[in-house]
Amino acid sequence: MMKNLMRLDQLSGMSDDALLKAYANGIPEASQILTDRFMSKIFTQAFHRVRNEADADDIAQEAMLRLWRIAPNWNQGNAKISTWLYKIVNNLCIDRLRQKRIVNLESVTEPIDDRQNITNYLLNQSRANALYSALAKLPVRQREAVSMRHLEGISNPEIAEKLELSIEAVESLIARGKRALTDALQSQKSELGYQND
Amino acid sequence: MTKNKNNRDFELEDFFNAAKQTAPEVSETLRRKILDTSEQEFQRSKNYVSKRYQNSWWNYLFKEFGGFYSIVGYGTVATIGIFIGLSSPNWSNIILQFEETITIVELELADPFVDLSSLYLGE
Repeated sequence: MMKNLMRLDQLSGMSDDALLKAYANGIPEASQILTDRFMSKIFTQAFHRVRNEADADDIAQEAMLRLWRIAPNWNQGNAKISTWLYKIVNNLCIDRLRQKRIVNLESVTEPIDDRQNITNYLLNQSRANALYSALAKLPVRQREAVSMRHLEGISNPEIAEKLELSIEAVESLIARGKRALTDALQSQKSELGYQND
Repeated sequence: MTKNKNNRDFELEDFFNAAKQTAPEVSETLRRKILDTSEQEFQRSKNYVSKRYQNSWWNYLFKEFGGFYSIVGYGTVATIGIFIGLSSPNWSNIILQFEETITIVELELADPFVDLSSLYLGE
């Protein structure tokens, strides 16, 4: 147990690539650190795409499984693990949405948290649904950029790397995306708890 | 105009916040599942390496010859055979000389009249 903790402590300072190599070379504890580093990000990414917790769970699990499988053949110096995972999750989300064919965003329901005021919860829920509907109508690149920046909290340089674009292009995509979202949501203002001017 | 623009941005931020607030947290179950798959994959990969080793032609040959002790035995016998085959004929002479010495010693020990012969010579 003590040895295991010491090992985890040593591993936690290593880079993602080095951890994956360590896992492939017979140190299973490296997978714990990698899981803690990426699980939350990929789950959030998947959830904002598919809007279903169970599906997001499956996608996150599948993406990590693919990471474990590629570990022995992972080439350091290639794409970053985070970028590679982003692409895998994105593809898995597209596959999942294709399988479902009809995604009725309005029908998605979440359990109500007792601590939250029900009215606020419902308002948040309808705003979130309206946002997802508006996002779905954006061009793919704009949707990805806006979603990464404002829902997943990824920085512009990181988005640029993931989408293989310049930072300026990313900034432009986000600005255009937000403008389009604002325009789309303006018409529903009164239904979403805002007073019309 | 600026005020209007700022208001619109603020509203959009509300939507992003609403989406983030309604998104579920990552569950411990998911973490457990991911770690389980990593463990399974780790074991599978270990088994694959060991299976690949077991199925290799040289491992098959090794087993056919009877394993480690047999191979050591064959190796020793082969080395001695090669040594005998390639060593110089002097080795044979040395062995022969050794045999002769033994014979002489045996003869000396076997001769009961060794002292008597000197008496005859004295005459």
